[in-house]
Amino acid sequence: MDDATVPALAVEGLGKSYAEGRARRVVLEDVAFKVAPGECIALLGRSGSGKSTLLNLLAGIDRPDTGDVRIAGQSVVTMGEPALTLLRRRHIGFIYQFFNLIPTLTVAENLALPLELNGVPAARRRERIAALLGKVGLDGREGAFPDQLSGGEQQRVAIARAIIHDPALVLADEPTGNLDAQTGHRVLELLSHLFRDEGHTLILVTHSREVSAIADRVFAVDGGRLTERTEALSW
Amino acid sequence: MVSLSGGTAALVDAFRLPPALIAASRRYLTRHPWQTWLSIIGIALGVAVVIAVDLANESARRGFRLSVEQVAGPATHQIQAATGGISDQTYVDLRIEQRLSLATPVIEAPIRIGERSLTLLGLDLIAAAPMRPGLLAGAGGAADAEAAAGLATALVRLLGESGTLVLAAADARALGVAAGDTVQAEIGSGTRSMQVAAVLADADGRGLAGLALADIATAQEVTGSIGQVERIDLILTDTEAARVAAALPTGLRLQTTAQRTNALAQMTRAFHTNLTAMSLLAMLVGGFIVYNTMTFAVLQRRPLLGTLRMQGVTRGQLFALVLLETLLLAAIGALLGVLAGIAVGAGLVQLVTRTINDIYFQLSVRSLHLDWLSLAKGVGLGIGVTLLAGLGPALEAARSQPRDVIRRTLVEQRGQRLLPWLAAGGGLVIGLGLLLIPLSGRSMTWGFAALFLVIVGASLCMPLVVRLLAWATTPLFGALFGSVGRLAARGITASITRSGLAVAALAVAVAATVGVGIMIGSFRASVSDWLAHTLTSDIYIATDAEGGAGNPASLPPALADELLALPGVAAVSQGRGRRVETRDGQMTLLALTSSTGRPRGFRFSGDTADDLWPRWQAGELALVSEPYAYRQQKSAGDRIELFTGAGWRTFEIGAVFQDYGSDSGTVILPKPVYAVLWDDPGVSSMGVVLASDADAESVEARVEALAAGLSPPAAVQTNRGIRELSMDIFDRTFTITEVLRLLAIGVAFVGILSALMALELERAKDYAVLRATGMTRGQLRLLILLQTSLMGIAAGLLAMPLGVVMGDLLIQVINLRSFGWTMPMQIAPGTLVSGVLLAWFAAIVAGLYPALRAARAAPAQALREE
Ligand SMILES: Nc1ncnc2c1ncn2[C@@H]1O[C@H](COP(=O)(O)OP(=O)(O)OP(=O)(O)O)[C@@H](O)[C@H]1O
Ligand SMILES: [Mg+2]
Repeated sequence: MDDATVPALAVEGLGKSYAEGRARRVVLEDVAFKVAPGECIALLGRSGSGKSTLLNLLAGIDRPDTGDVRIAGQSVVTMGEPALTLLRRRHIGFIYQFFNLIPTLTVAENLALPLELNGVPAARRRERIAALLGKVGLDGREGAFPDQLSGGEQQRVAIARAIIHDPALVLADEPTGNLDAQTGHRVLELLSHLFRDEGHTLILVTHSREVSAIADRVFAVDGGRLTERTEALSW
Repeated sequence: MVSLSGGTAALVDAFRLPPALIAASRRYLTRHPWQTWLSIIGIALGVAVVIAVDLANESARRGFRLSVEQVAGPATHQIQAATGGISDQTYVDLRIEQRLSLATPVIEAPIRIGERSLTLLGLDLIAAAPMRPGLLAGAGGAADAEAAAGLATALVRLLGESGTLVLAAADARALGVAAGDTVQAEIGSGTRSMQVAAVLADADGRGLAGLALADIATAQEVTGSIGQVERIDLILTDTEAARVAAALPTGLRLQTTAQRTNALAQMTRAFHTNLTAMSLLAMLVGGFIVYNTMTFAVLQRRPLLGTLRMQGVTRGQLFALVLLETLLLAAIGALLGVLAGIAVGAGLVQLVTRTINDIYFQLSVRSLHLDWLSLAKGVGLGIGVTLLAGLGPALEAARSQPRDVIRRTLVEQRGQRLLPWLAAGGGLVIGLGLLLIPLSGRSMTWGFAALFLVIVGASLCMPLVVRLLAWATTPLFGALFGSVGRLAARGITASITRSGLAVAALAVAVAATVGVGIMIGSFRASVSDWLAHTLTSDIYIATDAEGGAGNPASLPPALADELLALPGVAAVSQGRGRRVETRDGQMTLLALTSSTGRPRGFRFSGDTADDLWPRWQAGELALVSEPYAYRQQKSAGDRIELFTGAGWRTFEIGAVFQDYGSDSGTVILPKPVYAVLWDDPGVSSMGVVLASDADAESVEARVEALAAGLSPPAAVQTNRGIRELSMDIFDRTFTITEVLRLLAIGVAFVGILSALMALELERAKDYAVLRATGMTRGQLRLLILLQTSLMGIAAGLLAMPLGVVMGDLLIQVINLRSFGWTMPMQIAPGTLVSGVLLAWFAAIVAGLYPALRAARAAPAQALREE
């Protein structure tokens, strides 16, 4: 597969509206953009502007009213539920505002799960977990349960979990939204290093301009439309 | 980047569970120990009750079968007389004419030595020897010559000396007697000394345990049946049997051993089935608990399951995961259930045996028989029901979507939308159950199926009703308790998928106890009423000697005139009861006569023949009881055939009367007709009706004096005494039902405890928020207890109509189909009130722990958790 010709993500004519009483409320309208492999995109926008909605459409969590989403050349919109599950298992990593680690699994087990699901042999799993834990700075915390970690530590585990199976696309919805400024800053730094290192494609929803500084390109969601903010690069 | 093309191949292992998923489940269960253990206890109790009842039933059946086989030995056929006795001469004639080489006369009677109830078995030892070589030629098979010689001497003594018997070693040990000892034996209503001629060693005597073996002559003597034997046991081929049957004189009939055993076993069938159904009810409630726990476990983990789906865990995997969790609970629960079931079964078998002894026939079961099939059935049922109960939650888990990570209320919204459909489905299931009743004719099993459908249907309707109830009471609670009250009521509506379920489970369990309570209460009232109506005499005199051959013991016929001559006596009735053969099995025959003309005290159901009493007295008509009429589908105008001393005789059924005295059926004939047909002028009981101005106590004293000198001895009882005794037996009969009902309540209690505790503990976070916003501990405690109270009372109120419907079904369908009894439903207000109080109490207890915990916890702690 030629990475140069097939974008990691391609969105065309995407539209989504919700019923609100008798009326329909348009959240997204005719959204289109392409993301090359290894690129880092930031999505900015006011609260309620539709950022999470867009991310959900990209991951196939929600179905659009119109348009198409292609991940690694595969159309998400026409995909059935089982295929979509497999697509997520293999090609998508997700980072949430509230971490969403499995509370009954240790750090190592939380990281092992995506690998086990993808049938990675045990020896390879151990290597990969050890390597990533080192990268996110959590050496020696393999046996800890999530509730024994601080918020920042939990988010670092969540980041490791999102990329451990080498997905084509990582989606992050306000990953620093639930952290204090300093911790958020460190998590962000980690994210940008890690992604440059490993060459993952990242789409990042955020409120903060600081976050957008690490992005290759910045888009703004406003009034249901998506517009690229070239001037952001100069900030 | 990994290729997408392997997608379909990966679907194959859509159900394969990665180790980390299993670890997550395991820890979830161990981190919610009370939730896990309560549901395990629920399963265990259900399995235990099923196994205990099955073991007790099986032990009783086995005890019965063994004792029948033991007494019958290898005999294939029996010859029995309509009149109950076969003369020695008839036996000898038959033996010679029919060249019966393998035949022995038999007398069988209950005998009590010391504290042990045994069966006296009198055989013609010489004739029986070739039929039972292992037992009676034991001398030949004995280990050493000395023992053989001893046994031979014993047999000679048995034959030669009267009043001698042989006991098995086990019985002799238990009684502390040895060969040569004299024992006091109670037979019939008398006691006499007998000699133990020998004690058979275990090896020889195993087949003899529970029996006291005697020569037929001794048996005839001690049972007072000189010149008569009870039956003839034979070993015959089919062709021989046909020949013998054809040659039998009138009044004798040939029956296979199997026929005889079946006729007896048939008597207790309904009783055993009812116990089994009660135990299934406990299992049903156990299934509810599992359903509750697992549904809760799924809903509680909804965001987590969503996260897993987001990571690419398939629906199949989540389904398998929840089912695996359920299976684990089922396995542990079933294991504990087996142990508890064996323990409970040991107690239950005594109750079962006692009930059979009280109302059917004498049966002694000394120990619980560990029937592997019963254990396997219980375990299988427990695991099956648990998995079935886990199916819904597993499917619910499989419905988890990635977006559930984000939106938690979505589940509730979906649940809320589902409620009307659930209720509609419930209504459909109820309709199906009610439709099944007329369609299933007289089948008891289908009757139970209908009952279960109604229960399940009702529980499906309950969440909707609970929501409406909570919604309707919100203003009331607001007025009474302010915002705390409103919050309590709203909390139920907001989490209806779980609170509705908890209420449904509690309501069904309470309804079951209310329904069974109504059934027993109505039954008791009907029996009491019936006794008052049927027992028309004021004083009764009766002989109760049983066993032996020939006609049962009799009161002297002259006694009737003596009684009538007493001052203050208005009338004397006479009765004779015995078992008779009909074309449809055995039933009780009652022959009645009264000095006033016709007997009184009957309540007829359905039509009666014209000129009933004159035609009955002329011997044209017979009266039959409801159970017989129901089972044989007969009514007035139909015919019944009875085996009399003069062969088969047909009577027209004149009327069907109510009778709760026996579920195997009773037929009533005038005594003079009976006396001729069965060649039995005897009287078993006499009833004395007092004149209106008589002094009851002085008449009673005179009757006592008259009865005192009688032989065989007779018992005098007043009307009230008999009624009290009957109600006593009634209550004993239902002890076992009460015990099972209590167990079902126990299971229900565990269920509500687990459901409500789960619900309240899950809200710990909301409560922490309330505390943080300034709610006091007291207010929070009040809130939680108000909420559980509301749910408990709702369950209690819902249980009332369902309980009444269940009671009605138990009476109209189950009791009728099991025993053939009809009775009006009578609802004691106490039964209903205690049902509501029970539900409320259970709910309050369930709320206590969460109330204490939520009030104690520091808000910050609870907010951090999760
Ligand atoms: N399932 C839904 N049903 C109805 N309306 C919805 C639904 N999901 C989102 N919306 C509406 O769509 C709009 C966009 O929501 P979205 O969550 O995408 O906003 P957001 O940009 O992520 O906001 P925030 O920055 O606060 O997270 C909101 O007005 C929201 O009310
Ligand atoms: Mg958002």
